[in-house]
Amino acid sequence: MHGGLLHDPPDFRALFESSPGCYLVLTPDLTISAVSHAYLRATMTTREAILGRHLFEVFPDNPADPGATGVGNLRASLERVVASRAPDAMAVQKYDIRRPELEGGGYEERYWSPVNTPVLGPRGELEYIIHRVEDVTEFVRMKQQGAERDKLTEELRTRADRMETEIYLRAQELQAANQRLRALDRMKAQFFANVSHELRTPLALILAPVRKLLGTEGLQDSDRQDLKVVERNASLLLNHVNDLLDLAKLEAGKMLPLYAEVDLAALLRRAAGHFESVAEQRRLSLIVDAPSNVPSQVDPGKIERVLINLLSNAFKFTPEGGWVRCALRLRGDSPSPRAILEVSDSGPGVRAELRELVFERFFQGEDSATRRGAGTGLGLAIAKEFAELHGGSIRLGEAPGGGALASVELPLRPGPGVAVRSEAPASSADGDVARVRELAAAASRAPTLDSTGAHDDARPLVLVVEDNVEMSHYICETLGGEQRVFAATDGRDGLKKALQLRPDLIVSDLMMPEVSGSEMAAAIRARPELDPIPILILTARAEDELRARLLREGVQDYLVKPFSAEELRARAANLVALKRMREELEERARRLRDSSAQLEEAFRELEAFSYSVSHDLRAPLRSISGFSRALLEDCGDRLDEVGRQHLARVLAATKRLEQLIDDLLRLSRVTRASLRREQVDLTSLAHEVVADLIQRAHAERAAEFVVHGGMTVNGDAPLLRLALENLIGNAVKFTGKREQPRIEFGCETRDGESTYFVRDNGAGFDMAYADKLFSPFQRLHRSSDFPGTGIGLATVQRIVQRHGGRIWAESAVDVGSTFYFTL
Amino acid sequence: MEARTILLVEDNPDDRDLTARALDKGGVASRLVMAFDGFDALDYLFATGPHAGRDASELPAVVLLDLHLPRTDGFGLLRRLRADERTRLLPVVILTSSGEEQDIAKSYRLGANSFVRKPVDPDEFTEAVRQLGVYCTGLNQPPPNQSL
Repeated sequence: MHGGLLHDPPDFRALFESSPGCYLVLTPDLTISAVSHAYLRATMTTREAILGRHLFEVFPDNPADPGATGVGNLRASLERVVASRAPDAMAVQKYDIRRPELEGGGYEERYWSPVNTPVLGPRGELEYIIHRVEDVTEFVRMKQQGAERDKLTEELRTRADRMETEIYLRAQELQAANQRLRALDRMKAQFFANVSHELRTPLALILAPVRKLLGTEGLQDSDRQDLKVVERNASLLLNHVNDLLDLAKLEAGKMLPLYAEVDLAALLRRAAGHFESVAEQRRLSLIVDAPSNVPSQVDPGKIERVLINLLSNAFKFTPEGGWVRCALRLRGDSPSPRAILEVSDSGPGVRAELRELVFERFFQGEDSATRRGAGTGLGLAIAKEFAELHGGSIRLGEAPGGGALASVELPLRPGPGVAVRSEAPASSADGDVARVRELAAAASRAPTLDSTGAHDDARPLVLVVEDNVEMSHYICETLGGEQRVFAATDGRDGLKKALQLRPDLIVSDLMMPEVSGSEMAAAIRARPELDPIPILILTARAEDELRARLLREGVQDYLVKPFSAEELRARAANLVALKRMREELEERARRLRDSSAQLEEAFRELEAFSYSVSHDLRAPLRSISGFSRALLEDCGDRLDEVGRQHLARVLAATKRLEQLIDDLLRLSRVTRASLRREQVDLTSLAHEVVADLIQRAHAERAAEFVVHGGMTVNGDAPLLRLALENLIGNAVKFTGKREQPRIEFGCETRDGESTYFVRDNGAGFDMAYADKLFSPFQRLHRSSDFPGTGIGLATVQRIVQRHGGRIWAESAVDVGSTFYFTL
Repeated sequence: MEARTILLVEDNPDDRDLTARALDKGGVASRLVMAFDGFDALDYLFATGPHAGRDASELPAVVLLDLHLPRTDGFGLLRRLRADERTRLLPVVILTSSGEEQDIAKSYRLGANSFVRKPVDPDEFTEAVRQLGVYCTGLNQPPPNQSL
C-alpha cells in the first residue's frame, strides 16, 4: 500500500475538482486558481471562464437587486481571513447567479452559506484561501414558505377564537332578548286583556242608550244621521276591542275550542245569511255553494267567526256590482276527512308577496297597507288562530278574475279523547250574535260612489279618496253643498275615478289600503292630463318632513286631522278657485297663441300676396304697355288716329294700374311693417315733403305753403313722412283748380290733446260722405277731375292708427278741407 | 368698336323681346346673349353643356339677371357666380319686376352690382335699359383681367 502511494501518487487535482462540495481556491489577491465541478455547476459557469480571473470580476453583485450585499459581505469576510489568518464563516448570503446567455441570461435567486478558510505556508504566510459555499436556496425557500404558512394559521386561529367569542356573546344577547320578548309578550297579552275589558264596559254604555234613542220615533233626520254615525263607530270600536281580547286570550293560551256536533253546511249558510241584506244594499251577488248536510265536530262559534271575518273582508273590498262566493267541500278519505271552506270575491285581490303577511297580527304596510283585516289588522289573524286551534290551516290565493280567495282547511273531527258536546250551543252563547251583526254592518259600510248632486254640472267636482267610511261621509257632507262630490275607497280607486271624472279637486287620505295617498298623488302627477288637478292630502301625521315631501311631490295642500269642516271647506274652495283660474289663464293663453299663429299666418299670406302682386301683376302690365308702345312706334303709320288713340288709352290705363298696384303695396306695407319710434321733427319733415312736391308739381300752380314751426313728435319717421306726403299731396291735388291755393300744416290743442291738421282751400267734399273717406278705393271725386287711386287716405289712416292716434276731416264743398290727426 | 356681350337671364319671352328692343332702340352696340334660367346661364358662362367649346375666358360685359326664374332662381345663380373665382367680379345687374325691399337687400347682400326695377312705362323701361347698356358696355370700366 505504502509503495503504491509513494510510487503512484493520486491525482489530487482531479480529486479536488471532483469533490461533492462547492470549493473555490483563491490566491491572497483573490484570483481564482482552482474550482470544484460542483461549484461550477452551482454557479452556472465553466472552469475556463473563471480560472486566473479576479473573484469579483467573475461574480459581481446582481445589478437588478438594489439590496445585494453579497459581494460586500464576501469581501469583508475575505479581508478578515487575510488579516487574521483564521477561518471566517459568513451568514447565509443572498447572492444571485448570473445565468449564461444561452439559458436566457439574467440572474437566478440563490442563497449561500459560505466559509472562507486560509491555507498557510510553512512560515505561516497566507498562500491560498479556500472559499467553500453551500447552496441553501431550497432550504431558505422552504423556510420562507413555512413562515408564511405559520402566519396564516396563526391568523385563522385568532379569527376563529374571536368568532367563537362573538357567537357566544351573540347567543347570550339573543337569549336575553328572547327573555325580554317573552316578558313583553306576557305583558302585552295582559295589557290587551285589561284594556279590552276596560274598554268594553264604557262602549257598551255608549251603545245601549244610542240604540234606544235610534229606536224612538220623532227623531229629526239629521239627528238620526248623527246618531247612526255614533252607533256605527262605537260598534266598530267594540269589534276591535273584542278582536284584541280574543287575541290576548289566544296568546295567553286560555282559549280552547269547544267542540260540538254541528252541520258545517248549515253553519256556512247561516254565516253567509248575515250578509244578505248588505249584498242587496250594495248590489253584490252573494253565492253560497255547499252540500246540503255536512255533519262535523267543530267549535261552531269559532268557525262561524272565521267565516264572518273572511266574508266581512271580502265584502269590504268588493266594489259595487261584484260578487262574493262562499263554498264548502270535502276532501280526503273516510278515516280523516277534511273540510275546505272557501271565501272568494271579485275585488282587487292581494299581491302574491303579501298573501302570507296579511295573516300577521297588526299587519299594515307602510303606506300601501293591505289592510284586509277588519280595520285593526286583526280579523285575518284571528281567523288563522281559530283555524289552527282546530288543527286546520288558512291560505290566501287568487280567485278567478283576480280577486282574493281565502281557503280554510279543517279536520271534520278532532283527534280522539276530545270532549264533544252532542248538541251545539246557540251560536250567541258569548254574545256573538251582536258581534256578527256589527261585522256584517261594518262590511255594509264599504264606500260607494257618492251621488251628492253628481249630475249637477255647474258646481266644481271634488273626488274624495278615503278608505274610512265615516271619514269619507264626513268629508262628502262637508263639501257636498258647494261641490259635487264623488268618493273613492283607496288610491287605486282614486286614480281610476280621477281619470274618469277629471275632478276639480282631489281630497285624499294618506294611509289607505293597496295604494296610499302619496302613491296616488305620484301616479296622478305622472299623468300630464291630470296635472292641473290640485290634491289636498289629509294626514294624521304632522311631521314637517312628511309635509315637505308631500308638497315636493306635487301635492298642493294638506290638512292635519282632526280638522274643522270650515277649514276643509275654505281650503277646498281656494284650491278649486285656483285651479279654475289657472285653467282660464291657460285657455286664454291658448287662444292667444292660436290667434297669434293665425295672425302670423295671415301676415305671411299677406307678405306672399304682396310679393306676387308686386311681381306677377306688373310683369304682364309691362308687356301690355311695352308692346302697345312698340305697336305705336313700329306700326303707327299704318294705324289711323282712332287706332292710335286706342293705344294711347291702353298705355294710360297701364300707368294708372301700375300706380294702383304700387299704392296697394304701400298700404299693405304700412300695415305689416314694424313701428320704429323715435323723435321726429314734423316741421322739417313737412318742409322736405313740400320741397319734393314743388319739384314734381308744375311750377305755374305753385301753392302757398304754411308750415308751423317746432312740431316734434315721437313716431316712425318713414311712415309719418308717407302720411304727410299723402295729406299734403291730396291738398295740392284738390287745390289744383284754385286761383290762390293755400295749404297749411300746423298743430293746435283740442281737448287738451295735440292735434295736427292739414288745411286747404280746395274743392272740399260733402260731409255726408266723411265716413267713407278713409276706406280704400273710395273716391269722392270723378277721376277726370281729380285723378287718384283712392288708397292714399286709407294709408294715412293706417299710419295714424298704428301710432295709436285718430284721424278725421272737416270740409265744405268749394271752401276747403281740414284733415286732423293725433298721434 | 367691338360689340360687347350682354348676357340676359330672363324666362319671360315678352321681357326678353322688350329688353332686346330697348337696347336696340337705345343704340347700345352690343351682342345680346339670352339664357332662359340659371343653369342655362352657367352653361354659357363656364362653357359647358350646349356651350361646350366656347372660350370661357371671354366673359360678357354684364349679366342682366331676372330674379324669378324656373329651376334655380336669380339669387341661386348670383350665389354661384360670386362663389366661383372666374365670375366673382363679373358685373351683375338685377333687372326685375319686384321692388320689394327684401329682394333689393338680398341682391346686394349676395353681391349684385345694381338693382333695377323694370318700369311698367315703356318709355321709362327703354330709358332704363338703354342707360344700363351704355353704362355697362361703354362707360363702365370693367374689372381688370377677370380670369384672375
